Amino acid sequence: MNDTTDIDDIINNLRDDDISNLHSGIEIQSSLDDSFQQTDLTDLKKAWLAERMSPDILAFQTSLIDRLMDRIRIQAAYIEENSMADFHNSGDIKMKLLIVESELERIKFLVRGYLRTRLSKIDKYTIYIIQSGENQQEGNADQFDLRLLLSPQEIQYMERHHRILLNLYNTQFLSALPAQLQRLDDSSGGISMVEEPDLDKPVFIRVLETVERPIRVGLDEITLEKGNIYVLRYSAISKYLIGGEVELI
Amino acid sequence: MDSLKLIGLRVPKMSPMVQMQVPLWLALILKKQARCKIVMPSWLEEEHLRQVYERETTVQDRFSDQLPWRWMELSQSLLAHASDDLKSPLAKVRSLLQDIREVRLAKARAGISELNESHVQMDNLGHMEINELRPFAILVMDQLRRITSLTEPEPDHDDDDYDNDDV
Repeated sequence: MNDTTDIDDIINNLRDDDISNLHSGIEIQSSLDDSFQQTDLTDLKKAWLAERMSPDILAFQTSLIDRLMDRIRIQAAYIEENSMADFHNSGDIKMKLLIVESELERIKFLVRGYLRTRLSKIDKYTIYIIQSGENQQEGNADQFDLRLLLSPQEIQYMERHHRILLNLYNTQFLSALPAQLQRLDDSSGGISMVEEPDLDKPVFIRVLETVERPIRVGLDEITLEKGNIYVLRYSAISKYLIGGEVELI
Repeated sequence: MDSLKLIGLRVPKMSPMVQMQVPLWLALILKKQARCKIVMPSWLEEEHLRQVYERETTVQDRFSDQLPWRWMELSQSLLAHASDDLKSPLAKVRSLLQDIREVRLAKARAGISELNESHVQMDNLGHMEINELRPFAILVMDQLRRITSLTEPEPDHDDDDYDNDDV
């Protein structure tokens, strides 16, 4: 219980000066980025959907997530500040809190979904991602270092998780196996143990901007026109996804 | 209520009898508290739905483009929470929506036979309808792709980048 009173004190101290400063700061800034905000939210939804639907891992939206996390913090502070304000205030503040909280939860859901989807892909393709980095360092320029697509936290997570898992496997059973069967990235025998994303997996896309040049899918050629919805293999459109001409749905 | 700053938007100052545009989730919160009336989208009125239905039944090989992208989700939540704001009779709208859904579903089912290993076009399908099709369509296409890649050597789709430089 000591903790809560401590926090109360701190917030009480803060409330009078710092938060009012904070809010006036936001006011000035807000007129500038009102439209900016709206696109951030649509961008987040898009990033979330794309990440959920694409078979491989996409680039981490660093600045978008940073901006949103900042705003999530501001809104959480707003809730905290106002829920402690005296309650014999009108019902208006309750209504406002309800709205702010609902929105906050909606956005947290999206952010969480986005990060979790990425983590599940990172878990699945850990060895593949690590190898792509090693190959590049060895001078195999044809392979892109997938670690560049991850955020620093994600890399840290991946490396630690991999180390712990490796350790567990080794102590539990790998050490009891013959030496030639101990590797986790064995590719002898024609089948690679390393799981790779299947880039030919079919995906649903919607075309946002008409692409003039027809693209080839298998034996056919198709022209992507604005508003079209297609199901086709991911590898055929992945470069248009990054360019923003199509979106995954 | 005074204006309010949210993460995704700024809610303007709200006063009674003034129309304004807010996201659906916010409108539904206000509606549940009986603080607002929702102005129904025009596509959710009987007249428009009847037109859509007629188009859907006359044009066999295509989906009508007169419904919004998330028409099923929107109509569902609007009718469930704000049916009293509807100008047309609720039962009519419901049955029309149901009819439209069935016609479109039948078309989508017929379209399944068109599935192949490379690509399928599905213009004007709603988001919900796509999600209903997704697991099946993806599974079928994936299997077909595996089968064809076994029977014939796959044309190298990696050279997408070059195939436009035909000189």
